[in-house]
Amino acid sequence: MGEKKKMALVLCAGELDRALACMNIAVGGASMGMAVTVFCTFFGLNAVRKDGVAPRPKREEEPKRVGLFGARALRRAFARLNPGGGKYMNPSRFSFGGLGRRLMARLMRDARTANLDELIELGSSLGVKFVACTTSLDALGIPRDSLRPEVKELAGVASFLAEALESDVQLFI
Amino acid sequence: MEDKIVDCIGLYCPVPIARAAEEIKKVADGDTVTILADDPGVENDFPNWCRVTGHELVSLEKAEEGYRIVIKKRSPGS
Repeated sequence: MGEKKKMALVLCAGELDRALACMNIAVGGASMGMAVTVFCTFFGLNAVRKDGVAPRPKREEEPKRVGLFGARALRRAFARLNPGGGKYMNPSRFSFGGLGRRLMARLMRDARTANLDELIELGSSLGVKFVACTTSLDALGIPRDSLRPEVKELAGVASFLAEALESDVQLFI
Repeated sequence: MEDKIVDCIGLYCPVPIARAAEEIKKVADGDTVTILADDPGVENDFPNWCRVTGHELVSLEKAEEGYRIVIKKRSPGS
C-alpha cells in the first residue's frame, strides 16, 4: 500500500447501535493503517460527550441572539432532556424508556464486547481524529468543555468536505 | 527474532485487529506477532487486514481455544 488511505465518517445519529457501528469502523480503519476522521454532528455529538447532563454553558458560549424571553430556560430544559455519553444513549430498537440501554449494556458486558467509551479510547490511541460540529454544539446548547478530551478539533462543513474529497471511504451514519 | 503473543480470547471485533495493529508497531521488521482469538470473525478479518496493511500472514489455524494467528511485520518498501 502506497500513500496512506483516508476515511471520513459522519456520525449524525444519536442511537447507541449506530454510534457503536461508527466507532467500530473507525477503530478498524485506524488498525488497517488508514487516517480516520470522525465528524460528530447533531445527536451524534452525544457519543463524544462526557457522561450526563451538560453543565450550564458560560455566557460567552451562548448564541449571541438568545431570542424571546424564556429562551434561555428552554435551552436549559432541552439540555436536561439530552444528556451525553454512551451510558445515556438509547438503542434504535427496544428503547423501553431507558431500560433498553441498560439491557444492552448488560448484554454487551456479559459478551465482553467493547463499549462506546472503550472504542473511543482505543480509536484515539490509534490516531482516530474526532471532530465536533460547532453549529450543532450551539444549536443543541452543548458547551465545549462537556466534550470528551479525545475531541481535539471543532469545525464546520467545509472541513468535512475537504477531508471527504481526499478520502477513499466516506460514510454517513 | 522476537515473537510477541497477544491474547484476545473472549474479545470481539474490532479489538483483535486493533491490538494487532498496536503490537505490530512495537516490533522490528521481520519479527512476528502471534494473536490468540476466539471471535470467528478473525478467520476472514486477519487475511484482509494483512492484504491491506501489507504485513505477512504466516499462519492462521484453529487452536484449542479458538484461533492462533501469526503475522510477520513487513514495512512498506521492504
